[in-house]
Amino acid sequence: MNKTVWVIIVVIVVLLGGWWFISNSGSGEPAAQTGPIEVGFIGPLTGDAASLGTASQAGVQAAVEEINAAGGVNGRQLHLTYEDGQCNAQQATNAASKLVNQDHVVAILGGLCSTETAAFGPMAMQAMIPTISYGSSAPNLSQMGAFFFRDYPSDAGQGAFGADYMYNTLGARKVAVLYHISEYGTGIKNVFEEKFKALGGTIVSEEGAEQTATDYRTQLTKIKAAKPDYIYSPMYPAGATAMFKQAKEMGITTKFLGGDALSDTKLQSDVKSLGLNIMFTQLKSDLPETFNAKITSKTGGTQVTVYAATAYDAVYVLASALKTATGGQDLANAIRATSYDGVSGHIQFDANGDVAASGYAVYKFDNGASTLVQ
Amino acid sequence: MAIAVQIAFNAIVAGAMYALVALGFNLIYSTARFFDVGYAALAVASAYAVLYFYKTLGLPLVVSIPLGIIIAALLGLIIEKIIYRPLRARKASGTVLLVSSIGVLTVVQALIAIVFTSEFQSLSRDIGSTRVFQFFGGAITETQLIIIAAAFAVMIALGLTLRYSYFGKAIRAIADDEEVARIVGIPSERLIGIVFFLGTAIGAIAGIAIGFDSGIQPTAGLALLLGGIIAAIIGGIGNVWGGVLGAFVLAIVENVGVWLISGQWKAAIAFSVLILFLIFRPKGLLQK
Repeated sequence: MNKTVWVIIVVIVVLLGGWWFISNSGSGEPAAQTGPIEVGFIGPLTGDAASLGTASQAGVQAAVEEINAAGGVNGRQLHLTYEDGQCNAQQATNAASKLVNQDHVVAILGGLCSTETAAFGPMAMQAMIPTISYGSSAPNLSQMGAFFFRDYPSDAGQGAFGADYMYNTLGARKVAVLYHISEYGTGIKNVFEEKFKALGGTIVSEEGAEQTATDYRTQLTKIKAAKPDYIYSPMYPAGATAMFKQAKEMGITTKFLGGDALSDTKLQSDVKSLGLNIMFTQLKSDLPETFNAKITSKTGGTQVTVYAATAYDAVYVLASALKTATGGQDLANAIRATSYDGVSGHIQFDANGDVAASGYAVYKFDNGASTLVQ
Repeated sequence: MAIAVQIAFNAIVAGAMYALVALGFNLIYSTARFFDVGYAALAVASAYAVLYFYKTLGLPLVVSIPLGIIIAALLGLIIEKIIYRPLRARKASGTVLLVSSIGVLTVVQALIAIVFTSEFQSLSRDIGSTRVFQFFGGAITETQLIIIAAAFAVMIALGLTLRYSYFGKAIRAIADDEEVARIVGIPSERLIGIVFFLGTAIGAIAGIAIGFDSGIQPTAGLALLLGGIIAAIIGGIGNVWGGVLGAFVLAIVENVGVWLISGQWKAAIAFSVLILFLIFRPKGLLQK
């Protein structure tokens, strides 16, 4: 056949394919009234903060198993599709795209890192997919949209708590800040500095680095020269591992106070032999032993991170809302109207989808794990 | 004063690493005549090979490192044979080869991520066990000293080879004019294969160095390569020594700039230097 005919055939096939694809995707499409309820999960299963991500996945799995064993939601089983966000904007966006367009989920539980949530959030908002984040704490996520919720509180609280603890309990007056330039790091750093300066302290040095940076020596050199009482380090675990190692090599003995991302268990065991004095703020959580056992039986570890609890509770909140709504705006309204007491505390969302913090605690790196300080 | 010393140490170590990358890159460019971006992925691949032998299998360092280098160099040779050589036989332009090398980079990176996961890994067995030396208030680790020594050893070895050995003279002939070199009887295709082997081996050393010094991720290769490319362009693309000079110039400007301005500006400073050079002295510091 001659060239023109081929071209026409290709064009027709492409148009047909495109029409079929578009008619099969898209939001607001009513989910089947029988059969499993499709829900998506995004979190770092590999890469940065993977130990926190896999623990959160274990929390979700535990909740889903319990709910399904009890008969599911309105007789329908929950079906979870787990996607790896790798604590990375690009990966998280791809993951969300797949969940929305291919798996046709009615809601997304995720991400853990604020980097992930900030990246795929706008797309989820546009597709009207209710999103419950179980770990993203960047303050500016409160403005994400009407379909965004988080059962993990905003860093507006954590940054201020850190500043207060630094000034009043640790007695630090001159602080150096080393942070990851990201939604999370920049967000909490701004809150911390504002509060710390308001209390009367001085920030003697402020150094930022990319989340993927592996060389922090120049930043550490400048911080060392500024002779701070303490170093505030809201960083992600992979970079923090490299940073602590280099700080030790450079002979820095100053103590560190970091943010909740330092609760990563792999980081804690990696820097065990360095002998540095590292503390971090984290959501206060009194997890019952029964819950801890559920999680450790899945992850094989010994410590249970609070993100497993918030992820676990997020599933229950979603399941409760799914009893009365199937998707879209109805589901978002139902989630907002939910009031739930879970293992991570009392969950009730305000107009921005935020929850009130139940309080923060300070933990210390202790021989490969972390222990409560106050 | 101490801070200036530390900045100087940081600059020397960074310069040594960029120099290694630029050396291998320039070697390949001067003979095969294209920007081999896939070079970056092979450097990272060698680091992962060492990771496998040293940490997973527990083999001693003196075995793991040469094995890692040889594996990466063999990969480089194989890729040259099956991808670049057929393209060059068809007289493909430099752009086509560049795009194909981007394909190589993407595939190799993805394969590494599938096998080893994208987690950030460090090559050293115990983090924090390297000895640290203090000179004039600046700290430098044993690993960094080894990196500097290795870089200079490679530079000197390569310099002597290029200048005095038959192989080195043949390489310089091919770099000068490939067709005439072939007329004179130099087996250019075979020698280019060897050049890829050597160039990739040098890049592999840089990849392993970074793995021990800070750590590696599958995507770490591109950042390292960009530093090497900027160094090569600043120093005079195609001129092997220009790459070394450019590497140290870049490292010093980057580190001093970060000291005076702020850590976030490191990449911006590096590329600004590149842009300035491309505008005012596009041939680089040392002419070919």
